[in-house]
Amino acid sequence: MFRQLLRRILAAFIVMFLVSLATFAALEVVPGNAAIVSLGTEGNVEQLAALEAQLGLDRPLGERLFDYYSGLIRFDWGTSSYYGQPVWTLISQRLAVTFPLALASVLLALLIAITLGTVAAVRKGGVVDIISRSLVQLASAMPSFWLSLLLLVLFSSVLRLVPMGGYVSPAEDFGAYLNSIVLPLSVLVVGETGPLLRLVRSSMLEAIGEDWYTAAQVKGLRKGRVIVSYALRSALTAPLTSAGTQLAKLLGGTAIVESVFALPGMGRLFLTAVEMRDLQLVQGIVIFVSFFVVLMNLVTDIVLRLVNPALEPDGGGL
Amino acid sequence: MRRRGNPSLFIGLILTLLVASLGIIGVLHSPYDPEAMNLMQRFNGPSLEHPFGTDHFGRDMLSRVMMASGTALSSALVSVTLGALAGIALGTLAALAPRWLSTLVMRLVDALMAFPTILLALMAAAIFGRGLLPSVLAVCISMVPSFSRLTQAMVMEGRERLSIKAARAYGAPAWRIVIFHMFPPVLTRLVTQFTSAIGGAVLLESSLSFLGLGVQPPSASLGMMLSEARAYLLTYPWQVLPSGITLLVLVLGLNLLGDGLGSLLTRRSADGL
Repeated sequence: MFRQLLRRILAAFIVMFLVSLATFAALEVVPGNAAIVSLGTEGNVEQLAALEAQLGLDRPLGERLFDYYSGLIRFDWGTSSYYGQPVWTLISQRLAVTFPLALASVLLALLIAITLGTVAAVRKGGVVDIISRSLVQLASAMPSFWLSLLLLVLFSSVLRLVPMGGYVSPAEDFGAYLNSIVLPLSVLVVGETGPLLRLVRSSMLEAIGEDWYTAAQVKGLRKGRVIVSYALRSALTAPLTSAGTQLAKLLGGTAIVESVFALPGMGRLFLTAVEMRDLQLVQGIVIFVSFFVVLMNLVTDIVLRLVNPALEPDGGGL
Repeated sequence: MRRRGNPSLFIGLILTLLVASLGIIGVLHSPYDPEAMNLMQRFNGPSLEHPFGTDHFGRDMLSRVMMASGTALSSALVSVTLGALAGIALGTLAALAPRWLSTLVMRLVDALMAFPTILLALMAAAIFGRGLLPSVLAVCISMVPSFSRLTQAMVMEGRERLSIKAARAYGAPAWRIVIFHMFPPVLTRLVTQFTSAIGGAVLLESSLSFLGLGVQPPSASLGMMLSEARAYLLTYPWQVLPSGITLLVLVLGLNLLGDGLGSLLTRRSADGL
């Protein structure tokens, strides 16, 4: 158990190292370095040289790579050229908007997926099964930006229930905060529920097919009890792992929703960074999100193994 | 065991063909020039002349949707094909290479998988710039990890089969074994993965162009048409319908087609064995 744990942690560190190296390399091959990009069209050769010296771009590759890693470890992720603020400060500010949204959407999606998925599996081919599967198909084909626009038309333009967009901090006015996130939250839930529901249904079907399920029924336990306290427990491993990853991925994956609803979150920050070619910020966000994904995978893996020691020693990829 | 027909395949095929034929007809002949503006005819509702109405520049929406569907489908096909080829090559390499190299490659694939797709595509857009070609490349890169994982797993699995062991015992070279002995039996799974990936690619490409990073004006793309319609959401909300419905129908069709093909092919191969 302990050795496995060490191996998993080591593997996670290797992935993080490769991600950061890949990010560094990717931005190294960008046509025009950070100095050229931030000067734009107004700048002469002297200014360029000065800025390059200031950013340290004129130094050899190895030295810059060393600086890059020592900065990463000290949480000194450089300064955004567009905002003029430290990258780490920007990320932590925007996280306060995106994280609650991402967490709430994954939890809601998980709740819906577990309920509907269990019923769909237990009554396979029944009404709930057919309807939920059709809805999953529809939801997975639904472009999130189109759904966002439709919801905006219906709920803010026609029914005038919520504002057209914008963000109110929960500390300021909690009711207004809820109003400002209810539509983006719904769009995210629609996107997240589909894959989770599929997973719950398929692993539930698998659990129901097991011998111990039949044994428990033969023993005379009530069906509801067998489903909830036996089958569901063993069937939840895959959906929970996936929910952990989805949560982490949402930290960078909400760009579209945040852009439609004008929420000042991580996704919008990343979008601005890409549009303004603020490479330092792009790098910082990519590294942050991917580190979070890797850590989240590690944590869910460890927790699930503690809960269910019978899990295979090397299951579940990353 | 015989099962009832395959509704996913049937419906998926019809929906996909519907949008595909729109796109193909659009290439050959469109009712109007999709880029021709007519400021006297702005925001016209659906009529016989303009079945889908006209947009904020008075351009015919049907012609624009036709042009955009063609672009969406062809760019998705190109990017998934390139991504699949790269992924298959990488996966095969990982499965056959010495242990240290294969670990390195698979960890890299893991690292790519650790990126949210939209983030990966946006980062590619940051590197390659805006436009159709960069967005095709961006979508292509995001397709690589899943294909290489699938291929690696399949080749590893295939290595243990008796026929492969026999071929190796005869001294057949590795490339020959991979191409002629390993791929044919797993082709069905690759085809299924390919079809399902195209729906995702269409969605991703349209997201990029919605964000202004894909196809640039005045060319039409489904995502960009929606982002243009967004500016008139309060005054002309129906502007989001033509391109949105087309996009939904196309992606739904492709996804159903992928699912249907998957169950058809796995059933066939299960029967065959």
